[in-house]
Amino acid sequence: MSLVETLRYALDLGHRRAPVLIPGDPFDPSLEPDVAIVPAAVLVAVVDRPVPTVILTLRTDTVTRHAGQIAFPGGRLDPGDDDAVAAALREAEEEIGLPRGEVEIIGVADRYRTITGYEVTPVVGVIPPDLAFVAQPSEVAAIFEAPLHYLLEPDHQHIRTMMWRGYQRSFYEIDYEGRRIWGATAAMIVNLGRRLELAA
Amino acid sequence: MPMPETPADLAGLSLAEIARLADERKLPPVASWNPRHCGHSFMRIARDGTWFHEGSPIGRQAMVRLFSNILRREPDGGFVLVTPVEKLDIDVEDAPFVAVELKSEGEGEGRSLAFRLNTGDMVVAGPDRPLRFEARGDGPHPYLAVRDGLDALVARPVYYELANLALAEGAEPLGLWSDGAFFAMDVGG
Repeated sequence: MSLVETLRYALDLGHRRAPVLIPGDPFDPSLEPDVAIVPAAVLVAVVDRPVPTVILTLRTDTVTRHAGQIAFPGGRLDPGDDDAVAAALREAEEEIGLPRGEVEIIGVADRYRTITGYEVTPVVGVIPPDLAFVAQPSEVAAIFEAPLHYLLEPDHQHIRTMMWRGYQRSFYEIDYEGRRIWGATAAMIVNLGRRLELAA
Repeated sequence: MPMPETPADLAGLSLAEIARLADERKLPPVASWNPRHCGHSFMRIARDGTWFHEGSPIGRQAMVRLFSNILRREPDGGFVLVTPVEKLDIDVEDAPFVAVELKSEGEGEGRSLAFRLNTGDMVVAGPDRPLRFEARGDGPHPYLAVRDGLDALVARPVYYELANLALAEGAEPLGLWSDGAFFAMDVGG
């Protein structure tokens, strides 16, 4: 059974179960009182290798949201997007030059609400290895791959807490080869792992 | 992972059900793929069946199962993880699988021996999936042929179960039948 079939089966089976998920970032009206929920989508592109990997980007220090963080390619839904899948494919094309025709869509995972007001739908897809990516220089500083099994391993998913504006906040963090994946991206990875885990 | 859910153990299954599960296992056609060799996977399968990547164990059973689907034995005896376009070496300390549970049905020549592997797969020993007992300095090393040059090391407790069955049956030479084939256990060790 191929990676595509395997993931499709695992996600399909996972959607019929009810794992305990991280519901979303805590809502903090004092932070952004006029925040409206904005639908967004990211592409969890799994590279079909013997040891499958996931495409991640390091965002530039100059973008307005999540600057300098590690994220999946993605962004808000545009009026022209039919749905989250279309938005994720368009954003991946724009941000890393991934042609949408190369993506075999597996399905959508669990939506996640970020503290910055986005309701993010992770779209899972499989892509062939060694595509030539082109980073959109204003948004993407680097593109790299991390092994899927490494990211999904609970032992690598650490809960951190910090005091921030007088509140104690908890978030997930995954360190991969010195790269720090945290916040909404880490939480979506944790949730994806829990969703697929039950299909093991 | 990519198959009907694996039952937790063999106890609740008949031999016929186990054989059906084993037959229904859909595997990718790894033998027909001829990709370029791309290096080492930095993966290792330890003697107890635990998979490691870059030194840290892979805890998720579903991932281990996914990787085991694309495992292949090469003509030189080495092991690789293979996709249609890439091939990576993987280190195997002893055998790539471990047989962790046994279910025996029938007796004498009518006996069938079903094994559950550490990956959750089911294998019924027989003419195409023989048991063999290699004599080594530190005693017999029992193996079960799983597929295409990939063996399972029979775990110690399972081996003792086999030995007890064989002793109780008292065949000469010492051994057991499964699925119409006889497997001698007397390895002079």
